[in-house]
Amino acid sequence: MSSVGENQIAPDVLIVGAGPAGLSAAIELKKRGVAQVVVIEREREAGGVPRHCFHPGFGLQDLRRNLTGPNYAQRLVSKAQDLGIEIATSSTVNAIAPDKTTRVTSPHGILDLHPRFVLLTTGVRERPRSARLVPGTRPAGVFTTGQLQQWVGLKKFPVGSRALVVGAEHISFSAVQTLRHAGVSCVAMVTDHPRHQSLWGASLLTRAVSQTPLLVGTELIEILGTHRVEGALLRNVASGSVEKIDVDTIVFTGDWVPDAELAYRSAIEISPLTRGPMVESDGRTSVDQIFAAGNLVQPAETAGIAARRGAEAAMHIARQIYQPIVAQRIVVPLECDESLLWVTPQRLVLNEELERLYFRTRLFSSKKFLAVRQGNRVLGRYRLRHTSPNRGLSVPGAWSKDVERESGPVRIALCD
Amino acid sequence: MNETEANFDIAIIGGGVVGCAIARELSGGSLTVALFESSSDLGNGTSKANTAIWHTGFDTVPGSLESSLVHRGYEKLGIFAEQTGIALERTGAVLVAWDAEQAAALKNLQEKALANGVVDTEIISAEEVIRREPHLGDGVQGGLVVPGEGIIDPWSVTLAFANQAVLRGVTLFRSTPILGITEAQDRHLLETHQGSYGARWLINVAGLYSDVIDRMIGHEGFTITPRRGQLLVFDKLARPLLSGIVLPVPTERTKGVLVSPTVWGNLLLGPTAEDLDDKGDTRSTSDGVKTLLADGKRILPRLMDYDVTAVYAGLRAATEHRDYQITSYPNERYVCVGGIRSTGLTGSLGIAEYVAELLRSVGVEISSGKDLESGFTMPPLGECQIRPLQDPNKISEDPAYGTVLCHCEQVSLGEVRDACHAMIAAENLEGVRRRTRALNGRCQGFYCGAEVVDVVARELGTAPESLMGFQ
Repeated sequence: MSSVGENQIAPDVLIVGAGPAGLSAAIELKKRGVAQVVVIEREREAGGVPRHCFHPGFGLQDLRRNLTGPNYAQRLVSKAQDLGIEIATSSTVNAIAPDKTTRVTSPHGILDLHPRFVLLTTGVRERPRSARLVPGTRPAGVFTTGQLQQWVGLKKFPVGSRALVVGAEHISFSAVQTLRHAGVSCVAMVTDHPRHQSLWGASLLTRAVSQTPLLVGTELIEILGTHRVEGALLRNVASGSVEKIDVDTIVFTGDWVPDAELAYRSAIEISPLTRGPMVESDGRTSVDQIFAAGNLVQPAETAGIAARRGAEAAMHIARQIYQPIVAQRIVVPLECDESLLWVTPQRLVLNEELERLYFRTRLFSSKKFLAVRQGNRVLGRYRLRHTSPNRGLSVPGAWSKDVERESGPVRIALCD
Repeated sequence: MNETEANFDIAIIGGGVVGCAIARELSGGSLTVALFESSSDLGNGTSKANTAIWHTGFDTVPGSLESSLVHRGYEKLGIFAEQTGIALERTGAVLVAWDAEQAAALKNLQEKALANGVVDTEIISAEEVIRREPHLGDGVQGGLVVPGEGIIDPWSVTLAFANQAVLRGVTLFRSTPILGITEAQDRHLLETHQGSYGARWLINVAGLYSDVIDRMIGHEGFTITPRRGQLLVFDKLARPLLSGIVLPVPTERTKGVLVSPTVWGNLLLGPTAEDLDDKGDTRSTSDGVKTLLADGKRILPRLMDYDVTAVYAGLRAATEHRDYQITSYPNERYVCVGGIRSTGLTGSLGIAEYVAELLRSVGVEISSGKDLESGFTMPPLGECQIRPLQDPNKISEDPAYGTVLCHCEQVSLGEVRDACHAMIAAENLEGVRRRTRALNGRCQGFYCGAEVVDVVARELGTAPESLMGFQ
């Protein structure tokens, strides 16, 4: 555990959350010569969610290596520390006042920091059983992937013997691997979608190795058991038929929601679609000098994309520090139609080029186009080979230079 | 005569909120008192899953025992909460009429409130209702304000009663169900798994099982029909949607579905009212959840924008009678306290006082009840209180109070540790949840689940898997 030093109570940038986005942002700021960067992390160790993802596939996008989660996290932490960045762990930010006074609680006490800029990178979590309104009894043995991975990877606690995995996103297959690693037989995966939403390769490999059947078009309708999970009722959405499955462990996977309480409490405008902060092209939120990036803003991307987004926001913050913009910023809203779950950024800044546009589709589709329009003008049209519900997609933002001041919001939609 | 493990002057069967209040009331004098609880923790039955409202009793049946005891208990509980540091917020409530018929009923309700000694209610216009609660749905016709209604931490109340009772000499038996009762010459013999205990007086406060105990003594005063109430707890982010409690205009069957803040900063929606046969059926159902969501959408549409943090169900001990069933059988040295349906939390101290009076009236020497406030306080769990993590003195005293364990509910390592070593300590995760709020938040363990289990297992000296329901 390390704490914030006396000489750091007024840093140039305070970063909340030492996951891939926060650490990459800190590294970027330091590289750009920003002197005082403090990262606050509420867990005992920095590194974020990858710390408990004991499987490879990390670092491909940002470090150009294939690492396990803990190795990836460690590499980012070391890189930050080598640059002299202070990471205060076991430290919780309770609130950020309008004047940016940031109250931090740690075992050392309660400390008020006065940063010039704040970057929120507080990440995401999975929606647990209660938020998914799955009825039944309330026995032990119900997990989210995050909890399961800490349980198995960090604590080496026993899990159970027969598991049901709810969901079929990327993370769901990683849950299957974690269960397999813990010696738990994964009886089935269920999704109410007509297919899984992961990559074909990953899903085939996982299912071939673990021999887990994927039950599509199926929903979990009740959890059974008194002290421990004793089973679950599954319903086929099309036929309505109900089947009892005999399991002692249930893992709810995916269905990400930003951990945005601090943003809420700091009166930052929240997107009803992502449930994270609304951001402008450069990552700034509705509150002056508070930025947000990573999975808090786009739930949820791979660690590599979160890291890149953190670094991009940091670049913009550094630019702000060195060349404060005096000219008035003109902001144009960016909206999506029903075919998309969300799009970010939610606001474009005129005359500032957008790197990429990130979005999610509601349904499976193939050979569709993403159209970017303002009024009657088509600004951009991008071919999308395949889309899956909630799978991460992005397109270049080069069209942003053609956005006009007086032509209303820019609208994004899937089209043929 | 049978060998007994121990003999007491008074045995109380049932460690719910009312049983604990009675134990506290009867303790401290010259009589020996024992409290028997069948489960591993106090307040583990009807007392654990309720709407957590500090209730004026404005809508009870005037002249009933319930009316008088809730009225007596209300003030006392308010003072008790203050003295023992239990979270209580005097939010006030508004009964909202959604149609002309309900609006017309408000006048009668106000008169009923008056008859119940609640004198400060006020009928207000639809505009005034909306001014008080601007997020209510369309169709408000008017309302009745009950300023005295409030919200309270129900778990801490039960535990505080029990702690004070034990401090004043009560012997507490947990995980000790009563298997049978036989009569010796001058005492009742309570059969348990650990042997037999003798008691001169017996007080039956067994909640859902009070009819079973009643029959063991040879009475059939009433039959308990468990009435299930399902409840939805919404994310704390929804809290600003309400300023106080929003009650429906009650119908014959139930008080109906309410939306209320909780002292932990959530919003609560419920309960349903389903009569069941099974006294253990605390399942939530998809129909129940659907009904509640439909009601919630109508009452407070914006509530639907927020996630549900917890779905749970409680059972109320309903009988075929409308009123409390409190009967003294002096010749048998037996008092039955049954049918405490849904006002037991507020009524508890009134009921306890009443039971003490019943005993005194037949010559049992109960101490005056003075000296009950021995300076004992409960940990601060409410949003209206200063929690350890917000208290620099507490943290400098012990850094464990500055170490966050459960982020969603802002619970420190020190609090979880304390709960595991308290005089009436938690014995499992459920006990830790109720004593600290740990794991009760929106992430339901995504971040802290493994860590909390690790700490609790270590503090309790048990294996993590045993906390997770493995046999």
